[in-house]
Amino acid sequence: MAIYHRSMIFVAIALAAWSPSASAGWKLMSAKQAAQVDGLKVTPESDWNQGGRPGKQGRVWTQDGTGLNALEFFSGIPTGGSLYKERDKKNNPMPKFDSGLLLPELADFFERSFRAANQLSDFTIVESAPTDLGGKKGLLVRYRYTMPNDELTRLGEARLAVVDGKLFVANYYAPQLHYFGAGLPEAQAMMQRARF
Amino acid sequence: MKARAILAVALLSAGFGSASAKEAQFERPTFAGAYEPQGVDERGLWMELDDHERGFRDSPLIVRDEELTKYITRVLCNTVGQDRCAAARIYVVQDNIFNATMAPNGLMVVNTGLLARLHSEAELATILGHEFAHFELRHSLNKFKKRRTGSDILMWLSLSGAAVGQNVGAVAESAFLTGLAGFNREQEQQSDFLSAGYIRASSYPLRASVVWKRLMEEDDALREERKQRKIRRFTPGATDTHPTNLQRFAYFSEIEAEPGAQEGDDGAAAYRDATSRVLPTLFGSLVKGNEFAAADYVIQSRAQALGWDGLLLHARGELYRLRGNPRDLVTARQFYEQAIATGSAPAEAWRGAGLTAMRGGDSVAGKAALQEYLVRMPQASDAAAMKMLLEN
Repeated sequence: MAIYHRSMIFVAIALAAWSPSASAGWKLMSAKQAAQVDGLKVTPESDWNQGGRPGKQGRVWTQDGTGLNALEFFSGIPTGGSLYKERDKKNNPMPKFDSGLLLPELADFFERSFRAANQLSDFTIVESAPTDLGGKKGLLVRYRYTMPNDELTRLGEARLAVVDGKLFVANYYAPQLHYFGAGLPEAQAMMQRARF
Repeated sequence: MKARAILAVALLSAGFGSASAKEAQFERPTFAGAYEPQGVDERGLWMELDDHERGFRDSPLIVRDEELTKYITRVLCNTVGQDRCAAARIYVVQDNIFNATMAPNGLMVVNTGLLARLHSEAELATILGHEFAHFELRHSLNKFKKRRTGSDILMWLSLSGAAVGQNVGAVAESAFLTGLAGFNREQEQQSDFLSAGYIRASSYPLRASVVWKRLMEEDDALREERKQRKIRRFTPGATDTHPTNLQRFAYFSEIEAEPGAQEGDDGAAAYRDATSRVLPTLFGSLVKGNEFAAADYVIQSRAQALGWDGLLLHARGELYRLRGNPRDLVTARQFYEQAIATGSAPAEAWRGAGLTAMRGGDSVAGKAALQEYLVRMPQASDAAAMKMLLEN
């Protein structure tokens, strides 16, 4: 009996140790608690899940799965670095950031990166205008896109700022149908209150 | 229906089967206007596709430009005949890949990437004719039947293998997939030949080989840029679904060499006029995509065939500016300035000229160009950001 108990405890410990890796690195980001996401400090209003790294310097958050809503944070991308991970350097090289880019050109860089990462043919910038990110001067990019072989219109809102020659980005995107509008106020509040 | 398909295939083999028969007059297969699908398989296929089309026609990927769609329909009608072209409903879709498709129920999709890479109505006719041939020969239905028969045999083979304790499933499956790919290639070739037949019976000259030649050159350019080995294959791989580009180039060249194949107006000028108007829509995703050498090849080959205009020069400027090497910015600025000099440049050419001038250290000229951009396009999506740049 004692042996049985001990083995049960062992199995329980093994399971406890194993389960985080089984959930592919998802981590609960609790509501109203400040979280340090690489170089950015953000405070969510509600619970979010923190997932993997879409880029070397990036993190993705979601509530219902990244296909339904996603919030990405990228911190300190240097000149020559890419926004999204270069998964296939030979066939799909990612655009490289250049600290010399003028403010309106950040939108072009973001568009090319987002297109390449998602293999998009349809992407339109609805508006790009000056904004703040973490109290620094930056660019707001509102965009609309469609995934290949998909009939859903998706919307996004990104904020980009260059601080000491390095690029910081917060990017929220979701399908136009329900999810984008539903999550936008919280995403905007988080982006506005983000601090370096 | 079956009789029509057989007739078409018979005409094909009569037209292209032997050297002596090649000169025989091509006649289009007979065509019934209001055709209803026959048999349970065809009815099922049409039902599924009708359902798909109801959702698809609202897709945000569709380029809603009535004039362009009408123009493509006109080229299709000139190619396959006024009686049968009404069977197709054409949708232009935002996709930078060179492709077009036609479903068994008449849903035809033409990619913007296809229109960007073609140079004349005659070239467009070969592609539209090819897709229409798939439709007319009921290729999807035949493929569906072939797949079903194959998977039935596969199931029986696996079961009988299991009964005698032998695992024959994997071998049989790979034979099945290889066979299916071969069947697909045969259908593609049939469609190519029927398309050539349509064109021979139309007012267009046959201009197909050059399309495949350019696709090979584009691929070469991209592979060279990416330091990859160039691939020129005359024999398709076992799982290839299409004949290789080189094969298509070769057999079309042969047909084009036949007497009278090159006669007629290729409609290059009309094609240029119809596509120039929507050039930013056709080239936008190519230019902003990730295949610099391929996009530059496509732009230059269009210019070589149809001449440069403000929109095409602007597109090339964008391509270089977006790649963004210091030397690219200098080159891009020249393209923007050339675009402006043509008198047919879009307002965005001043945006590009201004940004590249400022990046190159010429802020006076840069700011002047950006101001001009805002005068020409006060409602630009980035007007606020530009104003901020100008104030600092």
